[in-house]
Amino acid sequence: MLPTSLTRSLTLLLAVGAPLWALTDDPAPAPVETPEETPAPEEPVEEEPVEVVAPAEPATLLRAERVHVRPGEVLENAEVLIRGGFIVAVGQGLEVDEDTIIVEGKEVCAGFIDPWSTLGIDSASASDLGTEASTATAKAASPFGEKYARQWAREAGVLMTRTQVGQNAFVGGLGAILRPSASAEHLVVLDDANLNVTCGVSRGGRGDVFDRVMEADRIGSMISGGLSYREAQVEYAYELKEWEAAIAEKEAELEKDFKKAKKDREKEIEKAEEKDKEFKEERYKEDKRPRTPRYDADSEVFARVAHGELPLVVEAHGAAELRALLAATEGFGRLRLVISGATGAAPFAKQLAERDIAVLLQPLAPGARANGERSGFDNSLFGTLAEAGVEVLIGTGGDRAADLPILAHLAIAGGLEREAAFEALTLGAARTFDLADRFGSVEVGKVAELLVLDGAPLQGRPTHVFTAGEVVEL
Amino acid sequence: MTIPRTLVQGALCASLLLGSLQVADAAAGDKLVIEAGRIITQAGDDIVDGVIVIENGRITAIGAAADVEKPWDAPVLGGPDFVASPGFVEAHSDSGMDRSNENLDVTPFLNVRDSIDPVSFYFEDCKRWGITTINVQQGNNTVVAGNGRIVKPTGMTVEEMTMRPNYGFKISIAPKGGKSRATQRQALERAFGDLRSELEELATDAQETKDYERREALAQGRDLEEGKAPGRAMTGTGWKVEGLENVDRAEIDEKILPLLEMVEGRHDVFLYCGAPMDVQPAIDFAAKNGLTARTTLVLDNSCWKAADAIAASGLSVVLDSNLVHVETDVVTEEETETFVPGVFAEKGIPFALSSANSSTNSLWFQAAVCVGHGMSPKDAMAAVTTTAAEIIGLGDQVGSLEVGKLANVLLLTGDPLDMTSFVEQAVVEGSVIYDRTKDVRNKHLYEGVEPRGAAAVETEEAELPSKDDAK
Amino acid sequence: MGISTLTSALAGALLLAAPAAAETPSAEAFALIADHVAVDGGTVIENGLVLVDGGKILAVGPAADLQGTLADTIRVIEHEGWLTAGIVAANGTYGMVSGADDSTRAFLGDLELRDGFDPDDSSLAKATGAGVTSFGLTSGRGNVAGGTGAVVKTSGGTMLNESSHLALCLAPPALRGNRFPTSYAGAVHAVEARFTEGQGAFGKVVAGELGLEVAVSARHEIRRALDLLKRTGLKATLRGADRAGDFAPELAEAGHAVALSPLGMGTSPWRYESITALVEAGVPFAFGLADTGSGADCLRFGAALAAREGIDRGALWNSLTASPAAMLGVSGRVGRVAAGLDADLVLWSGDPLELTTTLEAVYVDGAQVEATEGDAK
Repeated sequence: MLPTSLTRSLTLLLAVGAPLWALTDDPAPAPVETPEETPAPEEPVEEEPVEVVAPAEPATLLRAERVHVRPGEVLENAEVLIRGGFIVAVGQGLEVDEDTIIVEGKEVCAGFIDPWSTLGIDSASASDLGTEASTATAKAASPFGEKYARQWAREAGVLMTRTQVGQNAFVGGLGAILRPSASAEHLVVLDDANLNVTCGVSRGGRGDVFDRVMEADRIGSMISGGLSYREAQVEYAYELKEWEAAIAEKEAELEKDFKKAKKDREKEIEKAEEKDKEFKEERYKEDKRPRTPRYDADSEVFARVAHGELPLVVEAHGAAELRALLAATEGFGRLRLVISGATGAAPFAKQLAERDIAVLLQPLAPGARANGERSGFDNSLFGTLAEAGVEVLIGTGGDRAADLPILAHLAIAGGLEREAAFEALTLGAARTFDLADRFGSVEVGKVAELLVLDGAPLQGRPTHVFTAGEVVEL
Repeated sequence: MTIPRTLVQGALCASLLLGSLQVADAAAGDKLVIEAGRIITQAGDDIVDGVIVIENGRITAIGAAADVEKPWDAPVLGGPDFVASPGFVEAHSDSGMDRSNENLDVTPFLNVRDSIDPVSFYFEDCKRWGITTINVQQGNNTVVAGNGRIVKPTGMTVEEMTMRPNYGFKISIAPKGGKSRATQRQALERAFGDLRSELEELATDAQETKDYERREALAQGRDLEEGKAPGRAMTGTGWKVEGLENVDRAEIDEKILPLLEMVEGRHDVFLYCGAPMDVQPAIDFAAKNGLTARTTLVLDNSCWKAADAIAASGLSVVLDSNLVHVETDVVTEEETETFVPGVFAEKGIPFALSSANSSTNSLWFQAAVCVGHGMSPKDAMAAVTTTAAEIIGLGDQVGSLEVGKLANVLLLTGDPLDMTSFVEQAVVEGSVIYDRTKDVRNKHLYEGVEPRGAAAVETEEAELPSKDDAK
Repeated sequence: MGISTLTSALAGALLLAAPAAAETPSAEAFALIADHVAVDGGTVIENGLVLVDGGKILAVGPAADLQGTLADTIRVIEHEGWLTAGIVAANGTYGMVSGADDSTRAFLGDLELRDGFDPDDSSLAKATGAGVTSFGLTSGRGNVAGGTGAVVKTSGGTMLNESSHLALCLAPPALRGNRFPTSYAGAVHAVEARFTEGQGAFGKVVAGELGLEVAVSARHEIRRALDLLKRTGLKATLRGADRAGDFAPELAEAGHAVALSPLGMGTSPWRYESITALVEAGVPFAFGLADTGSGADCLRFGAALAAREGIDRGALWNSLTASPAAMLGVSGRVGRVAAGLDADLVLWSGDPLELTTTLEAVYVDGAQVEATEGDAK
């Protein structure tokens, strides 16, 4: 038996030495080489007629007695062909193959959009008062939670929502267009649909009229701030370009003259040494680079709003703040304004129509309480505004998107034409939030978010929906 | 040129012998032998009637008694009635600190060293319940919290307790108090976004200065020597700022420097998710900022719903001490119970368990509950030993009883997952840090032994109301 | 409604046979012609005519048949839309200006609630404006026995029945912590004892002279009330028994009725299932306003929502009109558009069970009360 210490040393040696052994041993056997696949010979590409979407995916065909192509346009006994999640054909006698899924129903129309919703985000985010212009709803959106609200929304035909964080905050942040009943990958359709602000709402109706009117002025100045911010950026870009060009020129010059400058300098050094003086370097001056403007996410959002790149939704109810708001936003030619709530908007109907300002209203249902700023809301406002030529949209204002068709009925009871109500739920909402090129009607090239109903769009119930690329039977 | 094998071996042997001779003198007092009727190694089969030899804080031999030679001069602990097991590893804990979170949102410049309380009951209890390695991180109520530290539950100062200083950062995706998910995300993005803008500004300024100096030299007719770059380029798998090598790292605000190091992949990050909706954002946040390779998710028990996303990301997780998630359906009023670790085990996601600060929820209890729900004892033990050690980067140091690893060994009166077992002695790095025979509190509870110096309490017989009084 | 729209001839034959048709209309008489006249939930006359005189309905039938028989002096009002009976709320506390409860003592069954009623209270006008023309005046839920209720009209203060029912409550808040009874067991015991004793209002109920209303809420409270009624051999209207659908067969057999709380936005699906069960079992049901803070317009709105869910529309319309009238014992006066009954009528822009319909005019006792955008000439 070896002494323990030696055993230990040898153990350590073995532990340490083994890898050293490997250094001097033969290298490990090379891995088995897989033979390279010989590339297939190139085939000449034939000119094929361009198809809308790749033909490999199975198609879905919706067949109905009435297809509501757009508000006011109905095709009788028509079909809609969908492939790859897009509408590829609308008409009669469309071509199908054995893989095509066929769904028959009474009526087909575009899925409904709830443009005033909090479905898809947690309630804390929806009621957060600390949001800023760059707070993004899309960041808080998730497919988890509110299982039944999402399910019932789909069953009622509401396939998309404009969901907003910071509903009651002065500046609510960026709203998002969501498919609340879809899985994570299909959830967010647009992560910056609009900027939301409130005017006279954030104090819960407790502020006096001067405070509310002042908020309208603040909104005006924030939009101005956005314009200035963008101007500063454009100016900077221009100045930078100029400076860079000038500097490049200067640098080229300096390089050209370098040899001479070097000789001159050496001469000067010699001279200084002769005179026993200290050699001073020649002073060099150049224009300073223009200062980069500080990037501010919130100002960036207001810049986009000021330039009409993002619609601005303002919730305002009282006549005083509505008047102030209209005045404060008058000068911004590119601004796209949507007023939500609008309880006291009746006197401003003509102005709103002239300035092309859409109004987003939440109908008041019997049994619902109209709190604070909303008290006094009357469903007859729908009729009043519509008659004056204002575009009216309908929203639920909360997370019960499934209520939208019922609220649409109340809007009709308040004087909105049936056709206008249908438009508000589909193409109208799509247009206002920059979705009309992809959603809102049953037209070739659009994304297929469609309903198959057992009756007219607002009366009947959906039996099937086509959403997020697949057909679902309800 | 290959060095002759014999020469190498010879040189090594010589140096080691020399070394060992020297070490042998000093090592005479640092040896320890542990005997046990059963040794759970967590590295293969259990050893019956086994022996562990410890020298200088590490395991030098382990095996059946017949196969292992015990050094004649080492004290012997244990005996055939005991079970030996690796000390438990707490992969993430916010206990043992004076306050677990700060008021400020983003505080990576802080360090838990300043708030760990070595005499906290938590550490005393860790000894009692066999937890020998603890990763102390700040609590969940934060946006980006300070630097954590791995400690052992013994020592009168934080330095004595420290196993690995300046380890790990805590980031929360779930909202800090007063924020909603939207504003929490915004605060996080702002923290890292501000970092990026700061760095870009510094880099641009440095480049500007460099260019200016070059032009100045040209104008003056002076040759400019290529200086060494004062800093180093940004590394990592996330976003990068070009030209950072021109910036002296000392110029970067020390408040945000830790964030830069995180993005460069130089720190482990613990991301807290409070709900399933936080999981995908957490994974995306980690990927965007180059943190994925060093991130562990710390999960609330409802996050099992997002297990698929976690499986796809390849991240490991630390589970909440509440192992069963109960949900009531609002419409049908049905209650569903989900055994959370089972979901992760099924999807092949590596997970560690965590304890709440009480004996009934300590690590061994959590593991035992897992066994109760059908997990194998080996898998349950792994979640509190080897997997936990891997997660905190100490997989080759602790978590199992193998030659070369630190000697963190528990001597228990029975199976560690048995409710009736006690830790009789706990050994950390070769030193006995806990002995139940000297545990005053334990004796007070179980044997009624009064602490020394306590005044004798006279118990009177309580007077119960007699039957006559009731009328 | 669409349940059964009778042909003109058949409808005419049925209704002209009513005795009131024999009377000669006076100078104040007038006729209302509407696209649809809903006699009750089961019968709708297309292009119907209703002749009103002296606050009563003289005749109902197809306009084609009746219009020719009218004297030229009779004013004819043509309405584009629907004409129905005024809505009857199964219970309500409008006009109880000192509060709906006198909750100092648990048993105040002999109080005559009509003594606390103010017919000019503004809440009544709002109710009329929503088409609710009469209701069962009852107490709140603050007493085990709150008083003896009445049946009143929302306009004009007409009492259809001065003492109609005893109002009981076997649920919190009647079971208070500071007076007897504080428990269900105590309440049941005390109520049963009073029925056995047979004094005052309790005695009248036993004798069949007074109806009985029992306010409950949770499922177990319905169960308890049913057991009590079985033991005492009494029939009652269970007020607020929203879970009554679970007990439908038992309710039908015992002959009880149910006054439900109104449906609205956000109503849980189980409420519609409960109502469907009541319809299938043939249990009379109606909707009440006493236990809700919502306005009277929620009655029709709730019924429209239920119709949208597929519940039988005739049964729903009856639950707003004929059924509560029967439950309150005033079928001879209100609840249907039939000769001999009071002229409590409502003109709607369309089918009142459609959400898009609006109210256009209300008549109580033959006098127009509310006119929005009416066709009144």
